[in-house]
Amino acid sequence: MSSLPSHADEVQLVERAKRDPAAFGELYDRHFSQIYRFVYSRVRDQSAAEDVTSEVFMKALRGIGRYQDTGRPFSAWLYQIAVNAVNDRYRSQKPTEDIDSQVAVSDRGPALDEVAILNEEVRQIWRLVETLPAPQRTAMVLKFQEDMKIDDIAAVMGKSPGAVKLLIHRGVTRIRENVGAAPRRVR
Amino acid sequence: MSPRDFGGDFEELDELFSDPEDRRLAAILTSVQAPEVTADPAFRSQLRRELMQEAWGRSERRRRKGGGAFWRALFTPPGFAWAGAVAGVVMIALVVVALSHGPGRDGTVYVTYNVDPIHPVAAVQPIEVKFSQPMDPTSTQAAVQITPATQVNFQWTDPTTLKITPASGSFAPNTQYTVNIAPTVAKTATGAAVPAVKPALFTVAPTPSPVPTPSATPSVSPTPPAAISGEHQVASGSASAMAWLPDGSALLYIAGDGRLMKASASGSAPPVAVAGPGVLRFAVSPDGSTAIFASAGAVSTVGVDGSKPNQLAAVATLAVGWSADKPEYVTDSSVVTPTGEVKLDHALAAGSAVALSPDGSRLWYGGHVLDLTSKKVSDWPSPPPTFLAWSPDSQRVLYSNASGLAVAAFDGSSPVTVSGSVVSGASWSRASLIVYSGGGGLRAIDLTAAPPNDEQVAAGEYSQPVLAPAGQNLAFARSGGIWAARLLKGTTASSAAPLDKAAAVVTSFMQARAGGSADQAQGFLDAQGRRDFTTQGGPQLLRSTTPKLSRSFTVLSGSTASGARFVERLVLADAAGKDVDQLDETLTLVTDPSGAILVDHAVDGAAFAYGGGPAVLAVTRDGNSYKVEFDSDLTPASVAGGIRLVDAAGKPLALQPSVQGRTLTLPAPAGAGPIRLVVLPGLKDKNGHGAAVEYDLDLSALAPGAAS
Repeated sequence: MSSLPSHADEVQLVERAKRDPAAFGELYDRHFSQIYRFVYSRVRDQSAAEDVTSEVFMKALRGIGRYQDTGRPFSAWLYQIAVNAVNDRYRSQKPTEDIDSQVAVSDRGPALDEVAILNEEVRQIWRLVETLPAPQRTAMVLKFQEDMKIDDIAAVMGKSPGAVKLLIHRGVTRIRENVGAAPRRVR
Repeated sequence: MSPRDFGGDFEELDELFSDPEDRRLAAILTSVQAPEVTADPAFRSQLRRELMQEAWGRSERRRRKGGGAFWRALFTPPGFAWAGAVAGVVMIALVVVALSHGPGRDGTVYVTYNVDPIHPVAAVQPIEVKFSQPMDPTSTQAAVQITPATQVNFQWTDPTTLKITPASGSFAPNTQYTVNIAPTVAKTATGAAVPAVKPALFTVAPTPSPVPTPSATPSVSPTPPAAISGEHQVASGSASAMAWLPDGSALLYIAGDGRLMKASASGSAPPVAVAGPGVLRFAVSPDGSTAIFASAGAVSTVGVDGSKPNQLAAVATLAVGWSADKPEYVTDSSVVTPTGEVKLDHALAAGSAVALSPDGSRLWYGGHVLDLTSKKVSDWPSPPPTFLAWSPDSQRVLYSNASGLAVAAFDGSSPVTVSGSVVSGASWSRASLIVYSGGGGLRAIDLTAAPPNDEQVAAGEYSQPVLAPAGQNLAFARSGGIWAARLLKGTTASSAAPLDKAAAVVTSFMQARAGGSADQAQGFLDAQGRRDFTTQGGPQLLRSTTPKLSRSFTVLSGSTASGARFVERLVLADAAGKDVDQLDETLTLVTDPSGAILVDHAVDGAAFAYGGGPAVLAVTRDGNSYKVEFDSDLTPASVAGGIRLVDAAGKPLALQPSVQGRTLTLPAPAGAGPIRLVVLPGLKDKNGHGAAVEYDLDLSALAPGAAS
């Protein structure tokens, strides 16, 4: 788990980044990996992930002047841009299809867990996550993969904390129904 | 993979999941996180570069709008007001240099420049190289390479900022520069070598187009305003006689091998043989369909396209012509007309000056004029003058004597001297205008003026001028070729274009071309100009393939006999915007009858590589000297062997050049004859690089008195 600076430090850095390109570069260095990872988890294609990640940071640069600290991590704002960018991408590429119908995307590239997680059961779990409807999947990725707080996820997704909890709860329940007892054997 | 420390988020899970199995699953999802995805490092770096470039650009735009960005102070140190006054500076981070052992926070040195390839900078704009870490001045300065070769001064405004200014005080206008930091030469203050760096690329904005100033020395033979346009060669070789078809669409001439040839006025197709060889003289029928021609012992007619050859008689002739649409000819003892043979009062010797009038009604022979209808002979005073031409209406005769050129009625009455020149040939195809070659150029006599006005309309070689009966086409012989042009003076169409207004037209014309607007560009062309741009192998109006026209500028401009002349440098760039090729295009502009200034003639020079040694940027004339500006600082010792001025015959003229930086000053030779500047590969820049190819430039437009 990466060690993040205090929120006060981050706020200071963000304020500097509004005027100082070098400070924005520092923000980029801090958050690039997690944003890229998140985007990749959603699009499962390196080229697409690079396109979306570029879009995220370019939008962040152009919009950082309007960014206001709300007490949440700066990364929540970046995730919010990323979620929208991913959704926009699917919307623009296949306007008649919802992102939920894009499950097959995960079959085009190696799943994250397929790459490094040897445990068959865990791999099965993550593959099941990928089959969830987009809102559930986004909420679960942000929660379990990106380790974000419910309130921050809610801010990212533009939903209430209660709605996010519901999404996560439904997602987990659905996975449990499908995976059966497999998770118990993970450890 | 190791389970993560879930920390305080367990409380959230407890809140979320009341079912222990759900909590367990959630814990597994959290603790057994998917592995780290590693982005392509190249992508990560590239994106960072793009972001930094965008960030610097945005910051600079804010600064220019009055914002108080922090780096304003960095790039505007005390004493930097000079640079600060220059508009158009865009701060863009161009390069991120990875240092394996650099002293920076993350082992990276950022190199930024205050210039970019997109925005032209002022010539006096200093180049700033900003390093993200303190640098070693000596090694860093040694690493700086500037192309074109330029002597520069270095100034460190702080340990991270290097300011580069040209020793001459300014960069060359209209020039694309690269500033490179040689790999592994520059070192940081801690001794870490900087590896390869992407160079800075920038283009210096143009200065006002050179407009020659009038010579301070009074010209013995000042060139009058432009009167000829669209000079072009229509055939090679010599011609012993030339005549236009009545509509001026084609020229018939007797070639050196004795064939009667026909050449189109545009010169767009090779001449075709009509008759011969062995043709001695000819005349075109009034309707332009047929020619009568004489060879040794025969007289014949033929269609001007070579069809229907017909021998009229097997007889030696002294002159041929037409009476209405019927041929007639002159033997040594008679004139054979359509209505019969008219006997002469005396036999004519071979070689006598004998000429039938255009309407075939009169004959000039040795100081006598025979009216072929009345059979009356008019005797001119003795000794007879030298016959030159009949007037188009067959009523008058142009001749020369010891006093010059004169015009008189066909019977010798009412003589009027129209010029003090003594010449052996002239063309009188218009009632109001006589043209002839003399005084080092083409001259015209306006017979409508009182007294007739004789003036030079073009300097240079215009031998055997022949003006078409209609339109503006003029044919002449030059340097072993047959040329055509349009005579503007005294005719009914275009006139000279004022240089300043023509310059504005050229600017708009070139902008339209650079912008890819064919329709707009076409609007600046007259009919001849359009033909030039559609001629196979001729200049291209638009360039649809790479390299494309990226910019242009005026190398030379001035008024010539042909019109306002501009030598435009076309710079062609590759897809990345880097200049790769250049060529000079000579444009001649005239004012058409409606008053519009249009490009009447265009011709391309050969393309030559960009950045291939010293290149001429501009030539101006200042009094009695030419000032030649190059894009590179020159090696003075190379000038003597690398520069020539040659006259129209290619003869080198004496030079006493002086060099200062990239500017060469050459004394302008006396006289107004055509002069060419020749740059040879022997001319070296300060780094010893020679010009890539021989280059020459016609300086005629800068002749004394030619400037407007």
